[in-house]
Amino acid sequence: MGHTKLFNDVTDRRVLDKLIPIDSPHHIQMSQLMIDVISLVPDDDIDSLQSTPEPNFADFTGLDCVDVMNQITRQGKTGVWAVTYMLIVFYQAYGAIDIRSNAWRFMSGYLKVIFMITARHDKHFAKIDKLGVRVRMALRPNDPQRGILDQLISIHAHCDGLSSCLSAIRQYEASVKQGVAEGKTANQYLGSKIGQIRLAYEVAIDNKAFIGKTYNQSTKRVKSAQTVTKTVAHIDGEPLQRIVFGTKQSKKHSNVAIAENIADDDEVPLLDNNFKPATQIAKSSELQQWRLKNNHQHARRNQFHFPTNHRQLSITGYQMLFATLWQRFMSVDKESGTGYAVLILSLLSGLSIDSIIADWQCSHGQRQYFIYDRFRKSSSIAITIDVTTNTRSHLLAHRQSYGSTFYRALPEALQVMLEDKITVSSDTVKAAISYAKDILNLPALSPQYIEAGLFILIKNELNKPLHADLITGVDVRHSSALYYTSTKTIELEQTYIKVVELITEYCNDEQKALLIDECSVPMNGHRDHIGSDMALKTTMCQQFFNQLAVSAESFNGKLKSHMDRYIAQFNSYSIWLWHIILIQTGIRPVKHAPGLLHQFDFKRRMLWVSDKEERHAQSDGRLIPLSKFLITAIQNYMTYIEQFAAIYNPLCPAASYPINDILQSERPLIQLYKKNPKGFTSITPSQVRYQLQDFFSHQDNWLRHQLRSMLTGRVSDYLICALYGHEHADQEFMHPMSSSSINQLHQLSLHLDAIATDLHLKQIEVRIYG
Amino acid sequence: MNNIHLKPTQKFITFSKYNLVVHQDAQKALLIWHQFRPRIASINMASLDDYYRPPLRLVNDKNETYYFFNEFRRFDEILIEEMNSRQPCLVAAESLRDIKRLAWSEVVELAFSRGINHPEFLKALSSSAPKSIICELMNIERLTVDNYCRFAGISQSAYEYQQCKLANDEVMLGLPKNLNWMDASYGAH
Repeated sequence: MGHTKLFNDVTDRRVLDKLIPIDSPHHIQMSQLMIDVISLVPDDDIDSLQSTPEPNFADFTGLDCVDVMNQITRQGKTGVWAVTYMLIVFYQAYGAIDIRSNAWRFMSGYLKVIFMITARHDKHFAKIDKLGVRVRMALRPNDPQRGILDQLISIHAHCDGLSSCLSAIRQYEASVKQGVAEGKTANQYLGSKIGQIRLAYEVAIDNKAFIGKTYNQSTKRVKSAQTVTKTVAHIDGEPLQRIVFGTKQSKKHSNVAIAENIADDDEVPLLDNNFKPATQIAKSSELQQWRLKNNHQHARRNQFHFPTNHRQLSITGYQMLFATLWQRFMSVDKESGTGYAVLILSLLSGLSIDSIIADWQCSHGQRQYFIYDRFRKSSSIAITIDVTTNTRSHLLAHRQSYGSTFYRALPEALQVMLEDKITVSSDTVKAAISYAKDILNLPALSPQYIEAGLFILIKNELNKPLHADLITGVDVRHSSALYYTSTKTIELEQTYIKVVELITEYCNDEQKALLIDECSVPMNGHRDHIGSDMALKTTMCQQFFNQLAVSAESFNGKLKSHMDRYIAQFNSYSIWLWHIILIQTGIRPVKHAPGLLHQFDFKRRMLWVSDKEERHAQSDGRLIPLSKFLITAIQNYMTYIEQFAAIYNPLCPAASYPINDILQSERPLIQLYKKNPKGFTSITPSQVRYQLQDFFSHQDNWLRHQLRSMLTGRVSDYLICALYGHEHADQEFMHPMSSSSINQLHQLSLHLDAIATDLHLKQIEVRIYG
Repeated sequence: MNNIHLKPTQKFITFSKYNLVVHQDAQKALLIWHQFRPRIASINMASLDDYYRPPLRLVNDKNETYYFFNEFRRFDEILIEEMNSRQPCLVAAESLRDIKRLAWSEVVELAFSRGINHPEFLKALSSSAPKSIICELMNIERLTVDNYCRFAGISQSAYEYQQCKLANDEVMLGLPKNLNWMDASYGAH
């Protein structure tokens, strides 16, 4: 610590000028303030600044805070003038500098750390901006980082000296990270933010050297995957360069399912060079269909897992295969068991043999699938669903899922194997396969059969297609259902135990009991749901709909013959109905959803939608059953809009409400009044966002995630997939060769009504008279 | 002004073919009328033969737009339900003063309807209606509570009783403009 003691005046000045540059607003006043705040709390260990013997407290009077903040943001100097910005924001929140105020005593220590880091004149200086950001963000309304700031203030109030603060911060960081790891608290990404602050304190106090970031292979791989591959081949002694362009570059790393391209999405470029054909040609059905047809054929080849498929074994086949491999694995020594271990791991995890070998080659910290837990001292299979992360800070605490990784236990014999990293040669695996081939008399057995094993057992025998996708780690691009669902971990664990029971059927009783016992250790802690990051807790969702309903009803009797209130009432009612339609149908929030009035058939209780791009040779959208609740809601809305039109149109003929066009299905059912340009336009997600602006913000699609998560477990999965349009090619509910009847689809409406009840949805009474 | 016909024209009009708009001088009256319109159900005129339906007063301009200014209740029904049936109409010349009188007489008549909130109604009248026309229609000198009660046929104590029950208008309309509802309602972790 000695190095920090007593800088001379010149150094102090240089450091201050670096922190509060001369061209920054009020820089003399601000640097004086900084000195005053630092000398507010004397610290015996660290006495960096020549504290003025009689601090003549400068204060913030005479500063126009808002003006300074505007100046900083407008000039884009939030980084360079970070300290000024932070102090101004802090002053706005905590008022004048006061030695008795815990907040300012914290700021004193915080600034001391900032000062000491700057005095080092090394690359750590970049931390100053981050430290400023942490305080500024914590002081925004409703930000979860507020908790960090409050904690820091109380740490500084209770500890004397920065070194004791550091250990308290370390403890705090550990407890937050622990809570998240066990799933006790929602992950609000606070751990890494506390980590930044802790690191800054460590730099200042323990004199840590700067260690730059090193990039590992996976980040490189992402970059290179997008470039062009050039290979040189020698043909007839002549070198020929071959250039392969990456196709679908823009979407390559997206995690959205292929089947999810919505109807009004931009078309992916079809050609792999920059050839830009005329629009007519590019949009010609030939070209469009070519890609769709390819996708379709690919899906058809790979998604049929009927028991008659040639690419899989029978259930008994898998049971015997597992028993044989396990028997052999237990009887050979550790070294020669690797080939069998790989096959067994593949049967238990559903992962491909290549990825198992690749993962085994990594050290504990770098593994993707076989995660080693230092606290429990055990390895488990971790399947992470590639969901889109939710970074909206106000929603973090209200998400239903605790992450998107599902952990499950492995038999101990395999855990022992996985402890060290080993390079498994493909020959040992081949040898293991041929052993099984000979013993079981299965001449065609190939890795493909083994890799598909777990999936087939869960899908065909336990009849849980969604769990099959999740447990075997199917990519979300090939399983739209996974992308949308937030699942109960307990159900997944039960499915896994059941499938272990099933697959170990032919092992001897002792082995079987042991395997089941070892595989049923719960590994997910308090994480009760995993999966989609967009689905919110039911209570939150109830509250959201309640607010929308209250808003629409709040105008009752308050219209007072003001036309703008009539319009505000109309807009809130439309917004309410739009959200109700989305949560009750699960349609994609495309432009003008849910479409025209004639798409609704109230008598047959059906809605016809076409909200996604159309596949080769089947182009008719899909049918969605309507719940009783939704039918009533829409019919009430219809009565309302007729009354609204009768009042509004005679009074404001200039921007009239197109009631006739709506009733005759020439314009979409839901319209919104826009101020610029004045008039009614058909509803779009961006306008809904605008209407909700300060009240709530979430991904447009979130109610689809919500409904999918709420339906899962209530109804058979194939019906949910039919509702969402998530069926695989040629397995569609309404396919001409499908054996399903439309009445089966109507089962869904009962469940949709039950969900309406669960969400406490109620019909609202919007009165336009009186 | 050479197209003014002093004689009203009688004819049948199907409104779905034309624009039906409130006359500019009756707009305010219509808005106030909607605020205090009687909540009771009205008599069903739809089944009446069109020769026997009460005739409607209108004025029109060259753009095939018809302007109405009284019979607000009837027009509301027509706009909602009877746009496609023929209505007997009297299309007359435009006399702005009389249009105002007829329009506001519709409003003033609401003073006799059951269940109306008299203090609110008087407030709306005194703030938005043209004083001279109102006083002329009510046949009073000045629009005071006293005069109003006499006109409406209620006692002043009844008026004051209603006044006490007036709910304040300061409740929030529409959606909250911040995120506090998320934590307030649910409680953070």
